Amino acid sequence: MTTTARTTGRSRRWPSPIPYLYLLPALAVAGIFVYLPLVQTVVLSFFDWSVVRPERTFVGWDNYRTLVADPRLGDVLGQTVAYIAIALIANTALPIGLALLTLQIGGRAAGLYQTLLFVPAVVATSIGAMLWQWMYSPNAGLVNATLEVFGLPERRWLADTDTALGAVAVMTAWKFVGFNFLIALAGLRAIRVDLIEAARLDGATGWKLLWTVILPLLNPTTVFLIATTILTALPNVFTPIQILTQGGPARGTSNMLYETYEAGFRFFQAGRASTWSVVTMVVFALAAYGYFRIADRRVDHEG
Amino acid sequence: MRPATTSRRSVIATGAALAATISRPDWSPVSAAQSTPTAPVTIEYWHINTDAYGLVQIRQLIAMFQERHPSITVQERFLPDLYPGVIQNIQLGVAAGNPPDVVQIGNGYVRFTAGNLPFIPITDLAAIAGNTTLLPSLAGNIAAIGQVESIQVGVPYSLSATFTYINADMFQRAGLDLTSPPKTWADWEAAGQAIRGATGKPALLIVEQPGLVFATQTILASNGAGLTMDDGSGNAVSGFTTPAGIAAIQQWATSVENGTVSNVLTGEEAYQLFFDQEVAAITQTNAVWGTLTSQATFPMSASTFPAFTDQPLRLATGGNVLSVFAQDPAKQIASLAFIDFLLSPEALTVWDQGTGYLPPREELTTDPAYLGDTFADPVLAKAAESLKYAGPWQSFPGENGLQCEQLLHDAIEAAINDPGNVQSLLEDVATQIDTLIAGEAYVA
Repeated sequence: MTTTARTTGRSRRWPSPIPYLYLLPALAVAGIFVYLPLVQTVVLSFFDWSVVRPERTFVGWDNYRTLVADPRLGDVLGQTVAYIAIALIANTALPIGLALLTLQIGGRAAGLYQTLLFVPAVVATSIGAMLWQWMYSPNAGLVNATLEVFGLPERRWLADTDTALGAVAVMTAWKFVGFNFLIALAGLRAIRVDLIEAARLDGATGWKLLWTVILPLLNPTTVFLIATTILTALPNVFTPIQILTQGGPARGTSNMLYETYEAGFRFFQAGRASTWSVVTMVVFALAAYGYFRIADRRVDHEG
Repeated sequence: MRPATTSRRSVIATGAALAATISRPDWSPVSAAQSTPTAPVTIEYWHINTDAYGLVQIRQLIAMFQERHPSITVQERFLPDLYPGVIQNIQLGVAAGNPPDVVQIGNGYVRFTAGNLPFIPITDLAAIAGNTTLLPSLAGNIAAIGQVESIQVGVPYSLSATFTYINADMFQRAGLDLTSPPKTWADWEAAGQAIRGATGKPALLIVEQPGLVFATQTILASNGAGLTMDDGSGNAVSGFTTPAGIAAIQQWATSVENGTVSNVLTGEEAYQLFFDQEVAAITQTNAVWGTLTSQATFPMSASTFPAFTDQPLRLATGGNVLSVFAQDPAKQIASLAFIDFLLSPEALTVWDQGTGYLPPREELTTDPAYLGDTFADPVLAKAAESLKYAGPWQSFPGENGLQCEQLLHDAIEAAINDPGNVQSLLEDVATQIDTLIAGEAYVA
């Protein structure tokens, strides 16, 4: 038996532990700070526990039954979907469109536009929210002042249930559009020029070139943007809600994540908060899984 | 869900614990002359005051106290997250066997403390220490702020009372007499007509901060209703759907409908409307006196919170009480001595001048040797006058109490914008709240 054969045979029986040892610190950190809290959250969702009290009461599925029976559940889910829908338009479709436009401009002007679009991304969300709070101010705000110029009626943007959610979502979109714009721009620049030229030689121009060549080639970037937008829509809008509306008026700007926060950190209902966490986690995991299943079939990975 | 008797049982257990503590061999009942420990003792004072708000005064007061009581060392400890943070930290301290000694408990958490935390009743402690002056120095309605079922959970310390800040310019433009400002809802209706006629703006804006029912409970209590009431078997149920409760909220909604009262509730927007002279008056506590008077570009006057005709005004009072959690007898005595000092005229003068709180002893606000000069301001004088109407902060019982407040806040927000459906909106939310507080004991 040769040395190589002996080594191979031994490695089949006892895989080297070295790679696993290298992974151990990262696994330990992830285990302590991610997976253990996750398991604890699931466990807590079966308890009635106020965080200011030492004792917990096992209540089985009661927290889930209460959540399903909550008359506000439909509103909260609807508002969650609304936030995601607005984010998809504002933080996926819009950045791709803006990236396409700035690429058409070219030269120094393109750089200027790209910089201006990215500026909100470097403004702290809390600062941005306070800026928009002033802009939405019913009397002294820039938004109503602009409407007044055009003879349009003033609105109480953050106090009116018809406009508050949209107002918060627009502020959030403003904050995050710049980062996604950069990703879209990078995606467009990564498309091979020879493919575009070949398409042009074949007679594809204008909208036809865009729909049949550029956007399909941009698909990997689009998939990434859509996935991250869906998964980050609620965390991104949390700070704006907290600063602008605190979930009001009439809970019209709350969503699944904000309900979780309020249950846990305003009402001290750890069991109820954990239930919201678990439901939110499951819904978003299913949404992500479903989306990737669909997207995988459509992505041109050679693009 | 917690059992109905939890609150009382905890209070009784605390009393029993106190008795056991007192009967320990190393405990000797003290006389008034012994109300300061002779052996060195260190106590912790937990508070919510930052460098920007009150911490300087706390350190000054501790220095003054230690000068008078050399055997007692007071260590102050700031707690983040305001009063909810205080409650969480007390629980953690108790669970770890290291409870604090003196703590600022938010008025909204006095009932929670009574039912859930191992406080030492001040009345018992004062009796043991032979302190016969501390509690009698407080007016009955003020002492009641720190009481639950006649047990003194804490000593009222920092107070904030809601009253009405008035834009004197707008009132004068409407030809209204500022020496006799509106005091009742009927007065405000009359003033509202005049102000609408002269300026086209609403007369009054009642501020209710997000998720809270601070103004709501004042309006309910001033018409003889409450957030909760006894269901006849000792358990709490919603108290705001009684005829008096519905009438109180209906009055608010009707005043919004006819343009006397603005339908804006939240603080930031409310302040902006007041500063922009889009509303002639705003209800708020003395806590924002500095902000409002410094930013307003018009002369300011004041009145008390709107009352109902022939009904006494009953203000839910913000601020905090000082409670004792010390388990060691020497620390308990030292804690009471510290509280006794903090309630002294000299200490209250330092504290209230520095923070803008109202003192629990109204007489100090007219005494030139103490706070008389501070409260010579006509607006602050109205705040001090409001102390006469100050009362306990109500809260929904049990672990779901804060969620109930949020639900009621949302219902009130809807009701004042829908005067035709006030009753049904309140009854709907009462059904939800009754489910959340089912089995909880009613605490008067």
